[in-house]
Amino acid sequence: MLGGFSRSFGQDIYEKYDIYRSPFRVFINKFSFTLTTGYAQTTYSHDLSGVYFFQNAGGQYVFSNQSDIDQTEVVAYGNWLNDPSIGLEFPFGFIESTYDTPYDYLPNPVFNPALADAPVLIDTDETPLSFRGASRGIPVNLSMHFNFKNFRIGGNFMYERHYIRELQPSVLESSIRSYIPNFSATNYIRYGGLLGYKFYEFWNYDFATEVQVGKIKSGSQFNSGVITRGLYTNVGISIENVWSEYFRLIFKPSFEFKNYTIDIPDVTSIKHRYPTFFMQVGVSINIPEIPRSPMKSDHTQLKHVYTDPQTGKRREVRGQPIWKKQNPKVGQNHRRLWRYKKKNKKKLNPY
Amino acid sequence: MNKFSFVLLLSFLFYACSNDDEGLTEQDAIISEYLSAESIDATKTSSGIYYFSISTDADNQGDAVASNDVVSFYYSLSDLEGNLIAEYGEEDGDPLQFKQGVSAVYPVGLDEAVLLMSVGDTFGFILPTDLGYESLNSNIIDSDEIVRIDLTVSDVQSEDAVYEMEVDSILQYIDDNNLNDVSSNPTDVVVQIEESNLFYKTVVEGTGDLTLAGDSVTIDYTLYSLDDVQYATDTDFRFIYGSSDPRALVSGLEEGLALMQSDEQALLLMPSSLGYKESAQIVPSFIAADLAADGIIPDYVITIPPYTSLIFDVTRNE
Repeated sequence: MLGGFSRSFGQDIYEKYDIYRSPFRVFINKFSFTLTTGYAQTTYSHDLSGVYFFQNAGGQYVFSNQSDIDQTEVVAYGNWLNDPSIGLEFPFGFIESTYDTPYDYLPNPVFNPALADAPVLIDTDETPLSFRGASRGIPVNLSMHFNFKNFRIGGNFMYERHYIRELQPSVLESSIRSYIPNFSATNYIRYGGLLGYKFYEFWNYDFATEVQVGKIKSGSQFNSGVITRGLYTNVGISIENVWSEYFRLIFKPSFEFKNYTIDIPDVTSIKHRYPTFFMQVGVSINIPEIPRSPMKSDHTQLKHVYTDPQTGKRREVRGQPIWKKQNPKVGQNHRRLWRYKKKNKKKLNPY
Repeated sequence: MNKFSFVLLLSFLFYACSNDDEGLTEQDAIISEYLSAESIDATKTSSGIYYFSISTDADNQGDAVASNDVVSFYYSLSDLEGNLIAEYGEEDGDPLQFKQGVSAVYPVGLDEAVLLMSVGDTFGFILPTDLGYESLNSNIIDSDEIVRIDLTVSDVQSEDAVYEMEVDSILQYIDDNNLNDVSSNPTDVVVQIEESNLFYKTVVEGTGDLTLAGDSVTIDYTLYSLDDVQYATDTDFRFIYGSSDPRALVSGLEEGLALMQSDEQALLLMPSSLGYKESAQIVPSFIAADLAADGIIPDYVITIPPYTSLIFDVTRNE
C-alpha cells in the first residue's frame, strides 16, 4: 500500500514506483459534468408603439399609425409575437365602435359576450399598450466545466420544452382581449459558455455562482426570417450537496435575461422581452481518475495500488463507489449517515 | 411527512370550497337582520332574492306578468340603511319599460323579480349582490351593496301590441307635422312599407343608382326621436352597404337606403322593431355610462330607451 506516501523530492511518485494511471482519466477528472432538469417560468412582455392596435371579433391586429386613415385599403398584421401575418385588409369605414348608433341592435344586450367582440381601435402612441404573460417550460440542461482552484469555466447545452400561455393587456382590460399565441408549445435550444466561482463551503454543501452566456434558438413556430434574437445571459447559484469528490447533487435556481426583435413589414419592429426563472435539480459528476478495483470484494477505503497477477503491472485503484469519499477521514462514510437510515432499518442490529 | 401534507391539502380544499357558501350566508345574515328590524315577513326565492308584498289591488287583480312581456313599472331604490339611492315614480312621467326574460334589464335580479308580480302590485325586493350591482364599477353604488328595490307594475303588454302603438304614434307625428303636405314639406309624400312598417319620405330628389350590396356608401345623418330628442349625428359616415361583416346597420336604415339614390336626402321613420327594439333598461339610469365603459352593455343603451321609435334624416353622399 503506497497510499499516504509523501511525494519524493523532485520526482512524481507514480513515476518512481511505476504506478499506472490512465492519462485520459487523469485529464478528464478535472472536468465536471452536470445534468439537471426542473421547471422554467418565462414572462413574455412587449410594448406596442408606432402602431394602431385594432381588435374585432375575428382577432387582434396592428398597422402603422402613419397610415392614411382615409385610404380605402389598410393592411393589418396579427401574430406579432412569433410569426406576423396579414390578418386583415379593410376599408377604414369599419373602424368604428359598432355599438354606437346607427349600428344594429344586439339581442340580450346585458352581459352579452358579443360586447367583447366590439371593435377597439387604439393609437399606441397616445394610449400606451403592452402585453404581458407568464409561460412555463421543462428544461434539461447538460453542462461541462473545468475546475481550477475555485473557478470553473466551461459550456452548457439546454433543451427546453416550452408551453406558452396567453398575454394580458396593460390597459382597458374590460375591452381588450388577451393576446392568444397561435401555437401552444415550442422548443428552445440554448448553447453557450459558462463561468463560475465557488464562493462558500458549509459542511458538505458548496455554493457556487455561475454565469452562462450563449445563443438561443426556437422551434419552427417562430418565423426566424423576421426575428433577431439576442444572446441569453443566465445568472444562478449552484447549491451542491457533496457526496464525494466525484459526485454531487445540485439544486440550482437561476435567472435568465434575453430578448428578441420581430419585424413587421412596413409597420414596425417590436422588441419582446422574455426573461426566465429556472429551478433545477440534478447531479454533477467527475469521472474518477482511477478505476474501481478489479477485485469485487475489495472495498478498501483508501486509494491503493493493485498489482495485476498476470502481468505484474501496478496501477492505482479505489475500493469505494463514486458516491462515497475516497480516502475518508474518521467519521466520513460512517454507516450512521442519514442516507443509509432506510437501508439500516431493515437490519436487526443496524449499528 | 406524506400523510401530513395530504391532510393539509384536504383541509385546504375543504376551506376553499366552504368559502363560497360563506359569502352567501353572510349576506343572508345581513338581510335577515334588516327584515327583523323592519318587521317585514319576506319569502326567499331559490336564487336568493327576498320579496314581500307592499300593496296589491285586491279588488282589481290585474294580469300576472308572464315571460317575454313588456313590463311598465316605477321603482324606488334604497340601501339597507334606509338611504334612498334613486327613484322614479308616477310624478316623474310615463312608466319605464323593459322586456322580461331576454336579458334586457340591469340589475338582472329584476328579470326574475317581476315574474312574481301582477299589474297594480307594489312589491319590495332585496337583491343579493350577484343578482344586483356586483359587476358595477361606479362611485355611486358599491359593488358589494345589498339593495332594496320597491317595484310597482303599472302595465303589462305583449311586444306586438307595443309595436302597434308605435306605428300609431308615427302616423300621429306625420299628421301633426304635415309631412304629407308636399307644398310645405317637399318633395314627396310619406310612403309606408307594409311588411316592415318603415315610413319613407324623399326630401331632396337624388340622381344616379340605387344602393346595391357591396357598394361603399357615405352618408350624413341625424337620428332623433318623435319628441325631437337628438340621439346622434354624423357626417361622411362611411361603410360597405349590405355587408354582414363586421355588422349590419340599424335594419330600418339599411332598408331605407335601398330606396335612396345618390345625393338624395330622405326622412326614415321607423318603429323600434326596425331599430333598437327592447334596448335595455338600466335601474337607475345614471349608471349606464359606467356599465357601457366596462363593456357590460352596448353604447346605444345609454342614449336610446326601450321601444323608442326613430327618425333618420339621411343624406346619401355617394
